[in-house]
Parts: sequence; structure tokens; C-alpha cells
Amino acid sequence: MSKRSPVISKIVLDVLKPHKPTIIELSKAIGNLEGVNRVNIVLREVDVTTETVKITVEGNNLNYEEIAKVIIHFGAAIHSVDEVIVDSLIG
Amino acid sequence: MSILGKLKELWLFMKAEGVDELSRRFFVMNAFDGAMTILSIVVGALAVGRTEPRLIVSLGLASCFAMGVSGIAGTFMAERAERLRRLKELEEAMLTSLKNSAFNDIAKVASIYVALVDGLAPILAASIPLAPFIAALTGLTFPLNPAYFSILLALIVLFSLGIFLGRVSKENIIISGLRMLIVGVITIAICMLVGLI
Repeated sequence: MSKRSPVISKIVLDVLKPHKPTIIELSKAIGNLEGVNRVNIVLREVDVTTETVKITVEGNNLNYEEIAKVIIHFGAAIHSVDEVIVDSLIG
Repeated sequence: MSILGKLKELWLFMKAEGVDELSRRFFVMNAFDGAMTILSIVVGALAVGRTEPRLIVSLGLASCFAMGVSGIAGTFMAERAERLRRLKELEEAMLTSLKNSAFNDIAKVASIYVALVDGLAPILAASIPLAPFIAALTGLTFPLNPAYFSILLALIVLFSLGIFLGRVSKENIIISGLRMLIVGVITIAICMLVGLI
């Protein structure tokens, strides 16, 4: 039986963040992580000091812990993981 | 991440928290204080005819030291309190702890950074008009009383601060510089009058 290795290729997160640093800076920081090919951040709701955004990260073998670390470092909080796509590679 | 990368990231968060704007304001305010203090010492000394370099340098350096200590200590305490308050407000808005975020580090680093700017700006601005007297102390001879060079340098510092402010406000930099220069000239006039009493 061949061994399968599931890897994350897409993840969608619902995140609450302060207005600054902006989503441009946050997306660049996530984009700097290994395996990330594309970052898409969409503004969903704006409050007085915070904003809710949808972060979509696509790539090869994404490391969720590293992505979460960057988001938390930016003072943001992950509210939910809304979508995940895992590619199961046969190796 | 390289040291440069870390510094860039730190500055990004400092900007996000408005530290760049705050430090710019403190720099101009305190550099202005520094230049004005030396200007008033020199003009006052000139008015009473006591411009011995030793006296001016000693008075000037003591003032620089006092302004530096006052700037660093006072600002650090005040800024630390403000930063911690801001961090708590942000935590309340986010409904989460920001202990593991860069905002926690910024609360500490920003207080130190702003305090250093606040303390060093008057020392830097004061040391420029003091330079002719320090040079005279080391034996350099001037064609005129070094006090005149010192006043000129203080006015140049004020003009430069005006130019800097003009660039910040995106106004005419020459007019902004002249505005500061006028404040300097008015100070000279008042100090001369006080010195004549």
C-alpha cells in the first residue's frame, strides 16, 4: 500500500484585527512564509478600533501554525477556520 | 529574519501605533527648547558682558544635561503609562490578550525610543550653538566674540527646525523657517532687555 501524505493547499480564516498594521502589510508578512503562493485578504466589517477580514492563503504544503503565528504577531485573533483544502499526495 | 528585517518590522508596528509622529513632534519641541536655552544663556551673558567660554560652556552643558535627564526620565514614565493603557484598550476591543503580539513589545520599545528622542534632541540642538565656546576653550581664537557665532548657529538651528516643520506640514519651507527665526529674534530682544536690568 502506498503511503499518503496530506498537505494543506488552501486555508480560509475569519480574523479580527486592529486597523493598523494594514491588510497590505499583513498579507506581505504571510506571503513571506514558506510554501505560500497567494494571499487574499478581504475586508468584511469595520469597527471603531478593529476590522474583520477573510484571509485566504493558497500554496504548497502550508504550515497552519506558522500562518497563525504571523497573524497573532500582528495583534489579530483567528475566530474560525472557514475552509481548508488538503491535497493528499501519494509518495 | 535579518536584523534589518526585524528593525523594519519594528518600525512598521511603531508607525501603526503613531510613534513616528509622536517622536517627530517631541524632537522638534525639545530641539527648539535646547537651542532656545543656549540662545538665552548666550544673549543674557552678552548683555552683562560675561561671555567667558568656561562660564558659558559650564552653564550650557549643565543645562543640556538637565534637559536630557528631564526628557528621558519624564517622557519614559509618561509614555510607558500611555502605551500600557493603549495596549489594554486594544486588548479590550480585540477581546483577547495581545501578550504574544508585536503590540506588547512595542508598548515597551516605544517608551524607550520616544524617551531617547525627547532627551537627546535638546542635547543635540544645544551642542551646536555651544560649539564656538567649546572651540574657544580648546584654544581656538575667533575674530569676533564667540558669542556672536553661537547666536548665529542657534538661529541656524531654529531656521532648520522651521524647514523640517515646513516639510512635515507640506507648507513653504522658507516661510516656516523664517517663522522660527522670528521667534528666535524676539527671544534675543527680550533676553537683551532682561540682561540690561
